[in-house]
Amino acid sequence: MDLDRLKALITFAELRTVAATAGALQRSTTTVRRRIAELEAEVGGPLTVPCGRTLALTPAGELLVSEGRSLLAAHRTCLDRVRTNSTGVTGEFRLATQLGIPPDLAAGAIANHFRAFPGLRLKVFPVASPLEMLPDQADIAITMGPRPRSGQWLSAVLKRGPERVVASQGYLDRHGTPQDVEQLEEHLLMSWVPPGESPDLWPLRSGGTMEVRTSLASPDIVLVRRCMLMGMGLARVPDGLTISGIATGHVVPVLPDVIGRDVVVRVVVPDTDKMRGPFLRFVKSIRATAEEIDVA
Amino acid sequence: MSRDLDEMRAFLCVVTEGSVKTAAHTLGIPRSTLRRRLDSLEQRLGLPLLWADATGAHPTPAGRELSEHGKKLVAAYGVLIERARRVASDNR
Repeated sequence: MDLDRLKALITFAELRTVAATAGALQRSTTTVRRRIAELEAEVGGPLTVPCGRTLALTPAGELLVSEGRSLLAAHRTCLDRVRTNSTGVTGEFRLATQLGIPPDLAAGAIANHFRAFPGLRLKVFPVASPLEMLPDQADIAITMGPRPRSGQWLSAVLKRGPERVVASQGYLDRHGTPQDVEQLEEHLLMSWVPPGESPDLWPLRSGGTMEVRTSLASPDIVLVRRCMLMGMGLARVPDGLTISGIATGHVVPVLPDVIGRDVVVRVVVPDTDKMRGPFLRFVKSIRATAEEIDVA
Repeated sequence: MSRDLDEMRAFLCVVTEGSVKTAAHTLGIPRSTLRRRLDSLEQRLGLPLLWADATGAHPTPAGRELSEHGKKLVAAYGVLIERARRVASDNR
């Protein structure tokens, strides 16, 4: 079934010749005749009859023309209305992301967002403490760390990955690989700054922390990793969230059974009536990449 | 050549079935044909109408609106053709 067949018949009824109809529709006369013939086959009877040197409409043809006009108009209105009202959720979302979150992870989280909310503009800005931006300066945050207090926030886990101490193979060849935590003092230490935590307190796998003296501390994980890759020293970073280079041997974990923990990347919004609906739709849109949803 | 109602019917079937694969089976057409019809409709509107995740295909806000109007349109076309068939049959 094809509205173009109706269009052909209606245009013919208005212009009275196949040639004029073809010109108006910018189609060949063969195409116009074929479309009318297909419509006749669909109806099971003729829609035009010879009338002198022209063609006239049969009663079935007249019915299709008179009511078909309304149908085509309704179709056009339907498409126009959809285009006009296309946004559904409108306006702008302000997304604060943790400084240093790998771009492909953040992009993966919002990849389906634009398909779910095509009219919604997204402003993204990296900051050291995304949660502090909510709700006045941001609507939604992607952050790393423990689950925010329930009752105040809605959150969904995007990804989990190990935080560990790593070094380039070249650095270890020159300076040796520490065999225990005491030997860390002999090396230049660098660390990302987890939100709300000290870069000089490194987590232990057995629980608790150990105190170190870092020579470089930054919330920018990419910067800290780059310095490590350049062979400056040992770096504590959430390395498991990125393609770390461990598989290729360029990057080597240091004391992986002693130092480290799992880091969680979350999407977080304030738990308000205004945000709950859009957040749940947003979470649904990222469900393919989200590892777990912990919405209360 | 535009096949408006074929495209609309394809889209409505995906919305109903929640899956391109199932909709193609229901309509008795290859998935590639169904995909082409959906792409054509989205291109004509300039809007995404469906998005997909691990649980299946879902309408966007524009898709939901189109689905609501589209069902009425397809039904109205069917009624009109049926009336025309009766008139054609009565006048044989």
